[in-house]
Amino acid sequence: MSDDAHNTVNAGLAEHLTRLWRYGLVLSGSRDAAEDLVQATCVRALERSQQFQEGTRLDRWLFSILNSIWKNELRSQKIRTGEGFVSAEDVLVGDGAAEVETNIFARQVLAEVQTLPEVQRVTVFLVYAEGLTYREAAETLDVPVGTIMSRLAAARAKLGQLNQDDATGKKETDRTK
Amino acid sequence: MSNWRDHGPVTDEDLVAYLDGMLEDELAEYVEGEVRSDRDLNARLELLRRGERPFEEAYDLLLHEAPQKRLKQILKLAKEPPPKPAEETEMERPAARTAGMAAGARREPWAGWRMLAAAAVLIAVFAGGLYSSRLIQVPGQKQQAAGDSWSKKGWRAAVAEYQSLFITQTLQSAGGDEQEQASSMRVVSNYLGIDLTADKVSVAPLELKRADVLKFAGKPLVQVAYLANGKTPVSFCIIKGKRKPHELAQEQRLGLNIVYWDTDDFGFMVIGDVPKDQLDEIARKLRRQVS
Repeated sequence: MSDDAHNTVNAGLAEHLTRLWRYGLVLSGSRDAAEDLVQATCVRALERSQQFQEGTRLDRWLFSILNSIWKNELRSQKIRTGEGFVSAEDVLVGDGAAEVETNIFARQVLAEVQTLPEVQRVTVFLVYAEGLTYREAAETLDVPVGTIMSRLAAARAKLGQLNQDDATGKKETDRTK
Repeated sequence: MSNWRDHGPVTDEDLVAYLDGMLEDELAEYVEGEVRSDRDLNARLELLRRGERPFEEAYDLLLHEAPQKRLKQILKLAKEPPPKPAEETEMERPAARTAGMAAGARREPWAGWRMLAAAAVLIAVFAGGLYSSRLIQVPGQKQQAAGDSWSKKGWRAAVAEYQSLFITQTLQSAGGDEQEQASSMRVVSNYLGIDLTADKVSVAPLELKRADVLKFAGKPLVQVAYLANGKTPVSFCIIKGKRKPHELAQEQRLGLNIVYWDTDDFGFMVIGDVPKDQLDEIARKLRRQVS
């Protein structure tokens, strides 16, 4: 059974590299750190492949490992060295090269999410972009389900407010025309 | 997702769970009823609804920006199997098994390995002790015997052998911009479990060239390589592992001066063909900076 688990991890890692990198980028705000996180996650996953439970989702397991490495090992280093947590424009909004019209709104969404506190941003990503259930997100982040719900509510309220402000601003502009 | 609380005042968390379709029918109906009869609650629901975005589509953009090639390379390195017991080496580059070799991948991923291969050949020929079994196929029995021998001689002897192969040209083309150096230092910091930065390992008159991850007798070993006065290779090496604390001391191996010291958890050494006094001063500065 343990050999099966190892084989599953060994064979399945390649499929999830891109999403692991994206999660690393969302957590760290740094492309370099995202690569470091993928590397560390692959190494850790292979070392601990026996612990993977056949029949469960490999991507969720890998996300948990990546999150743990970030939280326990790399995050404090980034903060100490002043890396990470850079502005949305610098990291997620990209350089605009080959930008197509349809991407502009998506970029705006990323920029808005980037204004949220880190814990909310990561929770929004896991639940709404990665499609984790509240419980899966709670397990990945090692927090209670209630915390996940609170973070989502706070995030939605903030984003809802942004939308409202935009709408109000637009009305104000229309009135002055 | 229906049992986390009894029916009572509807909270933002309830409303979001409702919007996310995470409530079971009974609770969803309860929330709907409350929202219908409470204008404030209805306004709150609308605010939270406005907080919806096409998150999945937005984040999909990032997937397209992932450095696919590099990620595959990272995985390939991670999957490099550890040496077979019969071919176990006492000092090797476990690049594939350490966090953060992405940094190496960014520079010239195989350059270090090629160099080690070259070093391995030379040492295998001249000293018979230091090589990478992954790169050079030498009969396993001989390798094991050599490994045993090196384990007994100790890590400073192994480093001295390795260092003796360095010439100016080994490091001349190495080095990179600050970002690359920071990245390399992250890698070695992760590996050792201590916080090293380019600033902490920089000391005049040495020019910092690169930092590499190695292993000796199963223990993590990091080599920070410099050129002194633009020509003389000097290394600052750190090995992880319990040891008896030892104050700064000097020795000479293979014509290279060494200043070393030990703490409870690490052994340190600075090695190079530079005058003893100068090396001692460099070692003292480094000790202060990394402590």
